[in-house]
Amino acid sequence: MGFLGDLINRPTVAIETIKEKRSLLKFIILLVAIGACMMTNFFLSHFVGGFPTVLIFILILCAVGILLELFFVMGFTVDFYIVLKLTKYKPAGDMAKTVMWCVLVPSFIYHFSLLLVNLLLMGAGLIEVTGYLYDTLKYLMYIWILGLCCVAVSQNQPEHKFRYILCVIGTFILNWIIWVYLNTGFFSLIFSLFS
Amino acid sequence: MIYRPTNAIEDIVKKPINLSYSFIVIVISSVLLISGVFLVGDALYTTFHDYAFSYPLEYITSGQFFGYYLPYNSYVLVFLTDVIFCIKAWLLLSILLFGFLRLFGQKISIKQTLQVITWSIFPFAIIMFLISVICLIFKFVLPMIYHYIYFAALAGVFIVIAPIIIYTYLDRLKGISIYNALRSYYLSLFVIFAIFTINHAPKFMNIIW
Repeated sequence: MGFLGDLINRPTVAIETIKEKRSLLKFIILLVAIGACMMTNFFLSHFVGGFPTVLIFILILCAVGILLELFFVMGFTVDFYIVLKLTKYKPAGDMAKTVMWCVLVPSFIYHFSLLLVNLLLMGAGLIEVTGYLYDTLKYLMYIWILGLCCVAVSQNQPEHKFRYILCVIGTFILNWIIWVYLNTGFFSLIFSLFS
Repeated sequence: MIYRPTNAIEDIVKKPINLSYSFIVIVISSVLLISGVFLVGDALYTTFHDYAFSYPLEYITSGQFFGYYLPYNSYVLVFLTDVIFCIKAWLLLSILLFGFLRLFGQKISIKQTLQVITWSIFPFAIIMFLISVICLIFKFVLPMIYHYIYFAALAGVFIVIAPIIIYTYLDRLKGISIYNALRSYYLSLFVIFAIFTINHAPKFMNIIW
């Protein structure tokens, strides 16, 4: 299965590949793609409407999605970098970057796959199922991200695995909670502008 | 297990598996956990009771399946049913963890998995009891949200602390890698969550989104 197979079954190899191939351009492309897919999924799962309103609303939400994804990824990376610095992890900067990519790659695969599934379900007239899938399956992506991040962080300093796994899980959950509240505020603002 | 988990795990791994001891630990921990819930009472008691009783697997493995209804004020029966609910949760989580570990090619027995879950999660019942006492104080200061503090702490034990201890335990016991231990445990939690969402989806998703 190549890189995807490595991401699922051989995280160490996948992380090495990520380290070799990461670049700023790929980061921007991935971020835009994830944000757009994420909010299109959100729209397909939570709203109904006809053309052209649907298209306009999806485009607006895609822009919001890119911003929210940027907050999520950068927020986690910065928080994690601070935690690594505080715990005297070396090299903190490089590890924070690797962890950022460990969030980006599974996020893209998950959101893109869910978009395809959602489109199929929409075509089959099962819009209620898309909402349930959107709200439930994302936890699989979080599990995947956490697993990869834990492997990445414990590779460099195996003698302190316990401490750094705790750092990954704690920071990720804290960042996720902040992001959810940020999201809620952002959406409240958007809906109040449109209503 | 709480202050020096690595040392405690080293000690437990050296000893042969004894499920009778594990069961005693489970019963004591469950009684402690439920006592904490009863001690705080009010919203914590009703929310815990509602979530426990409306869990789909609890529904089909209790008297509710035959139409039996247990009111809030049948305190002794509620206490006993909640303790049994904790024991069922232990069995379910162990079976799921065992299933996922086997799926990912790890050679582990169900007895070992039961032992791992017992010693990795249930000693934290003492912490949850202390959180109950703290919630009892919060009840008078933050009457609208004190029960959320309790559930957040419970989630913290299951989501943050338990996986690290389970990983350490599995590593010492069978040399299982971090990735396989964590994904098996979190996937077990995900299955429990997915079953939970069957009849709680709109209500619960609105809270956590």
